[in-house]
Amino acid sequence: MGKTILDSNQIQQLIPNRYPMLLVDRVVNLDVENNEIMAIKAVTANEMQFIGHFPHKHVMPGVLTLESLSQTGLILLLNKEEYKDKDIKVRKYDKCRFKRQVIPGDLCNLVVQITEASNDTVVVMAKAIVEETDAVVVELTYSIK
Amino acid sequence: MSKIIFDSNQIQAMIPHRYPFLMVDRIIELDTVNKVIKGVKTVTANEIHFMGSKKHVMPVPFIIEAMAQTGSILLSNLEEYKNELALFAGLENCEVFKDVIPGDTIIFEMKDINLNGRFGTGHATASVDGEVAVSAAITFGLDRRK
Repeated sequence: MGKTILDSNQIQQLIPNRYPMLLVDRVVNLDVENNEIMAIKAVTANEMQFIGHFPHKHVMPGVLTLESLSQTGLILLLNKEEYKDKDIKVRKYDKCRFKRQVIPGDLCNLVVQITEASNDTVVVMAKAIVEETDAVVVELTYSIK
Repeated sequence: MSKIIFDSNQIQAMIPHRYPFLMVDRIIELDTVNKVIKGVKTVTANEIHFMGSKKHVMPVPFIIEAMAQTGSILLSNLEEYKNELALFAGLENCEVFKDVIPGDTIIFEMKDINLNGRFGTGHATASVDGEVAVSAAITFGLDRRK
């Protein structure tokens, strides 16, 4: 595992998300200049969503992994000088594929790279990788106000 | 409000989702011939996900999940798919037009379902007060269930 750049307490200082919607545990690589971030979300059976998804078969809801990726992208954007005081929201999810199930015990590596950026819109390519296999890939568009 | 075709107890008999991940309260329209379904969810501040943000806005991923669950309920009412569980396989062109907040009633509509072997797609919208809040094309894969 790489070194920790930001831990979960530092992440809480950056983004407004809190339990049970804080879905990034640590940032292990933050390359603001090259518009890239890598973070980790550890998945455990002791999380709320597994009460209901599903009672007899624990599968990390794909939409929550999408949320992990959007929060990771948000951390990257808030570390960029030009966006740090802005109101940033995901406006579009596109080209998304759920390729493998994520289950308790898995470590999700969340990799986000900015592909297009302007004053009011940023597009990123985001991937959640488990054991070197892509679990979720998505293109996210953030609106910036 | 429109008439209830299935209530939340009946929905629990059709899909395996349970609290805190059951995101559809009732079904108000079901057309198994044309494969169209409409579901309803009321949004209240007394839901667990609102603990997670300073400002109460329904997290968009949960709206996407609700649209997918509505589609899953439709599939479970089609004779040939009633023993299948639809799992999320992809999402295209999902746009967010406005925030959904506590007190809102969301109407989910899933239509234009196209099934091709073990995969399928459908077009979904989530509307509040007659205005589309989120729209998406959802792809699902079928898994033996249940």
